[in-house]
Amino acid sequence: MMTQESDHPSREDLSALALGALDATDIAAVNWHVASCVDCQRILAKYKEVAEGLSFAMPPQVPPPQLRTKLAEAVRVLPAAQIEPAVRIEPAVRIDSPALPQPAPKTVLPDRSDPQRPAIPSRSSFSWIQIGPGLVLLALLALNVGLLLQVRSLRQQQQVLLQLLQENQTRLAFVSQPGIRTLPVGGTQGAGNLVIYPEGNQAVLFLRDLPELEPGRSYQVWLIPSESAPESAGLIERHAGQPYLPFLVTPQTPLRNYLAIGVSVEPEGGSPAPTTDPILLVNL
Amino acid sequence: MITDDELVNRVALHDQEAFLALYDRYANRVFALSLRMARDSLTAEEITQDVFLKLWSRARSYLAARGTLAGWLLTITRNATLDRLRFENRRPPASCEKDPEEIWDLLTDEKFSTDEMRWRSLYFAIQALPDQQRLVIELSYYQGMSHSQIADHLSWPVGTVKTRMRMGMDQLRKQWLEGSSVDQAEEQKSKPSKTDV
Repeated sequence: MMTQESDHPSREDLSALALGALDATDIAAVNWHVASCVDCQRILAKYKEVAEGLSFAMPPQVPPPQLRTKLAEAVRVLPAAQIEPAVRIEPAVRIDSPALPQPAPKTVLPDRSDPQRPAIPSRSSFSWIQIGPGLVLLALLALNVGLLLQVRSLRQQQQVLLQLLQENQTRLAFVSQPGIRTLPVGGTQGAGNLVIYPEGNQAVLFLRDLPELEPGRSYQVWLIPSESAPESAGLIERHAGQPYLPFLVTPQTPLRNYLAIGVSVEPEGGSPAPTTDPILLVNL
Repeated sequence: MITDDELVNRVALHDQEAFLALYDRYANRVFALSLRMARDSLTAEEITQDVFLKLWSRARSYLAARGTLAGWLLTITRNATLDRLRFENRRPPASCEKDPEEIWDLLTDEKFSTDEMRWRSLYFAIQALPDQQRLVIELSYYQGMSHSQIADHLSWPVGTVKTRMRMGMDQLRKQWLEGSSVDQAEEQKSKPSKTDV
């Protein structure tokens, strides 16, 4: 439990976290704090060193001798095909197709002595009448480039809108699934719901009443595992006029491996670890 | 002597000799931890077998930058043993009596590497803890029990469990990592605790 006076977790919590003894309800909050607190990280590191030492702190015991024999037999019969092709060691020289020396590419230099090469006019032979059409062509070229850039920008906008549409359709299809689970999202700013897909490996955060951020700040979503630092789930993009902010949570491992999902305000572009306390948190 | 990293790289290429060399190097540690947790030699033997088969099939996933091979193997061992205990819904008897020290006591110091000496000193630091502090640490680490579960199991208030665990960990930290005696009063002053024994 976090202390009210300092907002640091107590040493009881930090030592329990290192031992894996912290109650599930407290793990997310303590991990969250530790991720951004150097003092607590230092204390926790010492406790963790002791905790990891507990695995070694006993007299060695010799296992039954037949175990070695069994393992030797087991690894002998495991198929060598399990070695992934990417790490197979190829022979340095293939016998069936010996590497033949390839002729070096020839560099063809212009023949300066070519009599058919047109002569370059001297600077003194230009006149305004001659360069006029050239200027017109340049202006047309610039106009074309401008139009091309505009078209590209419109295409990019179209892509973004299509992507948003697709995401919204995905979310709509997602929340209409039978068996979905909805959890309330609470915190100091804003509110919302978390909708979890029945198979438990995807979820959608629907957030509302999130205040406008100062320039240079972003909302970042975090997945909080039980025994390690929060993992970024991405940044929330705000679009003007959206009362609800939907955010698709697609963790790399099933959601059951996480204790909570949080949202914090981070520098624009996101942070590798939370730098502020969560404004929203939902326990899974 | 061939380093662990070299041997693991060879195991990743399914070199059986390298695998057996690592087995000879760490099987007694893996087996000892599993036996300590499960209190059953048959279970410990099965866990040891599973751990080394995982080493054989997943050697590539070991990253030396994230810790020692021994630490990696023992983390797998601990997790596998806890999973097994949970699956069997079994809770080995929590030992308040001290473990037999004969094995380490019989060996002379010259036979120990620096690491072995370190682990031995931690072992004796644990044995020197007050029984109640040692008990809560053992229940949490070797049996995977949380504060609340230990409190239920021992019929102690949660606050008592928390405080005894923290005091035990502080004692180990001071004695083992810093090599000095515990000054609980100073500790309390530096960061007051919310719970009392």
